[in-house]
Amino acid sequence: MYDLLMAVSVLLPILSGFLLLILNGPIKRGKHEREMEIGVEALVLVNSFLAAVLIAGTGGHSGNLVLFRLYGELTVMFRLDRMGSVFAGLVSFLWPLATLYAFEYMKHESRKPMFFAFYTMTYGVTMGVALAGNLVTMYLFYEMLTFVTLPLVLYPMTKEAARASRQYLYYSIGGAAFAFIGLVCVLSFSAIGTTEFTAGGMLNPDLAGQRKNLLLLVYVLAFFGFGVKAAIFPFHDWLPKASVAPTPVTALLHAVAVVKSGAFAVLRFTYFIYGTSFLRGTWAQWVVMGAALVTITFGSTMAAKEIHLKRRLAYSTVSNLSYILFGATVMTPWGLTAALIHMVAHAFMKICAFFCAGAVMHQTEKTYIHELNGLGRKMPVTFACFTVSGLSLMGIPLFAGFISKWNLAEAALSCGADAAAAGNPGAFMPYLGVGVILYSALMTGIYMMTVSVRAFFPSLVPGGAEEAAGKETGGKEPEATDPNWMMLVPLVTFVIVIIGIGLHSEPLMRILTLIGGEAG
Amino acid sequence: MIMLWAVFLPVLAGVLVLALKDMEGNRRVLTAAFTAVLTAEAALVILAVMRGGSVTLWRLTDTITLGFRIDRMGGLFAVLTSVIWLLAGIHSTAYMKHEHDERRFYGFYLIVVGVLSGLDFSADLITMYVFYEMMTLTSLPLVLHELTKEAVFAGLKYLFYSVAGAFLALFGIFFLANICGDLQFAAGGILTPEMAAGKEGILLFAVFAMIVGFGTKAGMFPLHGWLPAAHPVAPAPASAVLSGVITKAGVIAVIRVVYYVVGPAVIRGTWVQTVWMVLTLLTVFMGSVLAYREKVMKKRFAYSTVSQVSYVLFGLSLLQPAAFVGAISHVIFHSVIKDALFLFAGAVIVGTGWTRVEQLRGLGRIMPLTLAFYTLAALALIGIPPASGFVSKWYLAAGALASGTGVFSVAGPVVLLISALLTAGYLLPITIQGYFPGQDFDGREIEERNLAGKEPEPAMLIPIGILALASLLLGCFPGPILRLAQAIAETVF
Repeated sequence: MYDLLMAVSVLLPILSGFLLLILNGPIKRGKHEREMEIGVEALVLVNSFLAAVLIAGTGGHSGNLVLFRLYGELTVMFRLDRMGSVFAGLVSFLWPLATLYAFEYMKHESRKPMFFAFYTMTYGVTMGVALAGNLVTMYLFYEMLTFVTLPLVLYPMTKEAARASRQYLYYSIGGAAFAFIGLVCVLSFSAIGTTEFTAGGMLNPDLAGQRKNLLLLVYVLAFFGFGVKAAIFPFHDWLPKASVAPTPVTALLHAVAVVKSGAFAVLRFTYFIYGTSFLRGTWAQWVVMGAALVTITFGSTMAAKEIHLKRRLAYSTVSNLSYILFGATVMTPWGLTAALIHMVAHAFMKICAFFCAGAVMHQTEKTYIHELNGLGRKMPVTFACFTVSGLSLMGIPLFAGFISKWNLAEAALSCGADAAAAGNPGAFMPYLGVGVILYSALMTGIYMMTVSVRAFFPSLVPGGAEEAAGKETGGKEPEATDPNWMMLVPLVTFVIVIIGIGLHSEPLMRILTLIGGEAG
Repeated sequence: MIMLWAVFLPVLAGVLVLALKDMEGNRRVLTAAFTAVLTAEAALVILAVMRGGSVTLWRLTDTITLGFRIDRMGGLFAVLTSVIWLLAGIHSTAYMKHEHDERRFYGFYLIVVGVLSGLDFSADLITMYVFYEMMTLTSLPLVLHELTKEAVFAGLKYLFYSVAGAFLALFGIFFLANICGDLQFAAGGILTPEMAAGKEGILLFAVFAMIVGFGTKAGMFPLHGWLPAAHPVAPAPASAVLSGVITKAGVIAVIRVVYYVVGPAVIRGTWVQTVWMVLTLLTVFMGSVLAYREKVMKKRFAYSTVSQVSYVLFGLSLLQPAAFVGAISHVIFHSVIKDALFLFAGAVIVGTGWTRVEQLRGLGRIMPLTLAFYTLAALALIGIPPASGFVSKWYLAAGALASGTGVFSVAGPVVLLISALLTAGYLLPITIQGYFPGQDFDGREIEERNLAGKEPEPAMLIPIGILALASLLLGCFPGPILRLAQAIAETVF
């Protein structure tokens, strides 16, 4: 029964999305909007409930569900394992909250049915990536993800949005092409004849050993291919540009669903296809680790330079995604654990920060950081949430970000020590990585805390005082307040989770350590 | 339990003060409650330190446990902190009458003292790091308080330097946790040579990163730039505790790293010790010179802090018992003296509105008693016997000469002497100009504003008096402090 449930939780949102597109006409005429909202929210909740049942019921071990056979050994197959459960659980926790937020955010927009149709379809597709049982299936959903999210980036219908979505399309397709090379290659070196995910890798050691350098080259290509969605340097540029999309899209898709699918795919490819024993200590490991480190540095530095709030957060995402990739490239059990905990922690931190930015845009239409002077006093809850997510992103203890950074750093140091003991010339890289993470943490402090300080402590220079005083000096604009419950509930939930993981991460870490243990 | 109260009572009280908007109009209740909490805090800390003991707070992860354990070192710092905090707090009830956002100031002022107690009581490096970060964040509003453009820039500078320092230190923590597993403090260090086998190079780098990182809070070169910007822009009582006490949080962090985790033997004779000594001596000298050249009173005191706290760090860097004793006693003496100086500055600013040194001519006609207290503290800082600064500097110099660090055992005392001369040069003119403004002094302003003989109100004057007298008396009767410091020194070497 659970096996079938996997197909349901993937297909239900996709089919509902199609249905919504068909019903687009009647709803657009201004009627039944309320009904649509309730329907969509109910559907998303049901699907999340199904996912929860699935994860709890199988305990992270389901059977294989072969949907259909493309050709020969190329099957579209679902199978839930522990790592998939983590991603599926994360996505299904966030989606209902983000949908709730989106209703309020999109209140004044037109073309809502179209928006929510694709928004819901993306849910199903992301679940597909999480539940995919082999590389072919994952590749399929990975490509689909590009196409269902494209209309969402295009949604504002401005020239900028058109340009951004075109770039998004080209980058993603290009990346997928590289990933495809990887897919084809591993199929011919597979020990089991298929591309089924196997903890610890599925390459045939004899065959692979003969063509080691070729396979390593292919690995690097596929890493960058999947890495495009995880915004790895130099293929990161689409992500900040795509922040023209409505905030629910930027927050959920471009901080969690889409980009984490990229990171998730890299993890799958590294730990479940190639296997770390094949890659560890090779030049390929140091190349991809170097790429992750460059991205971390670049992303956080650009974020500190950026003055547009959403683009700043997008650059921050670029940098944080490469934390996950860095964990992946450590290529030890602990590395995988660390990558996964950062995947979870970053999801909550960044969606929280984006939702705060969205709340500010929604309430005041302000998008640049210098416009935020003194807003913290008018929107205290929003900016308190923003501050918590900022502190957590910095990696201050007692917040989730510290736990993930701790694990990343410790995993990297152990990796470095082992490599040094083995006399590997790349042993300095993990140590460098710890330094890079700390540099990035400092940059995070700069780009997040300047916003909070500006909001809560406006400097009383003439301009600042005017903005802070707002109404007294002419009252050009209406008094801003915190948004209503539909926005606040998600925000506060995220903050609770961030602090919860920060204070008590043991249950989560136990699961992630198991995953690391079996796949590393 | 008492130690938990000592940490969490002020934090809770502070949060309550921040939350209760109604208190705004009710100044008397607010200040009474504020003073009561500070008094209770001092009592609780003293009680907790007398009781001692340890407590486990919380399992953060399966390897990280937060906990408190009171040892002599932490107890010493905690008592010092809470007592000074109380005195500066009493001063602030008078000072803050003339400021905006009083409630916010009191709220964060209370929270910070709780956090500092937690830092002093920490049983291991990670707990200490947690409270260290909290201290930066909760003391930030004190720096930002004035909300001028200057204050906001200084606040951000403070934040970024502190965070940069903390992350430098975090590198060391990551590394030590990786090789030691557990980072519980133990006098003399917990690191054994086997743990670091094959990684000695990185170990030394990690220790150095921690010294420089935590040294940021203590204003050590090269990460000292925030201090002269941030301390003076805060309201005077906040400058006093920032300069007098919070810099010492950086000191205790360095002590914990070097003497309680790594162990002095690991870095003795290595490049880390050499560079550390160079940096501290450079800071001592540079701070004094900059103080000498600075004309704004509070900034001058802040540069003086840069220089004086590095006396302490220099004593620590010698890795020698007598110098260690000198460093510990200088922590206490400098806290007392520097708080007296900043509270004096606060009294002057409230009473006259003067902020620059050259404006202070004729101050003796306005507040002779306050100026006398200032003079006492100044003499103590310069190190004139029998005032307190002399005792600590004596030990520092003696320790340096006995330390066997080659050129530094001589260069150290020489730099300290030059710095003492400069200290006299930047502190005493205020006294001299104040009492003896000279023939050409134009006293019209004092008469016009009817300032003559106007001592500050008791809530300001009494804390200044207590601190000034303490800076003298602690030097006359240094026995207990020295015995305590020697007892600690015996355990760590």
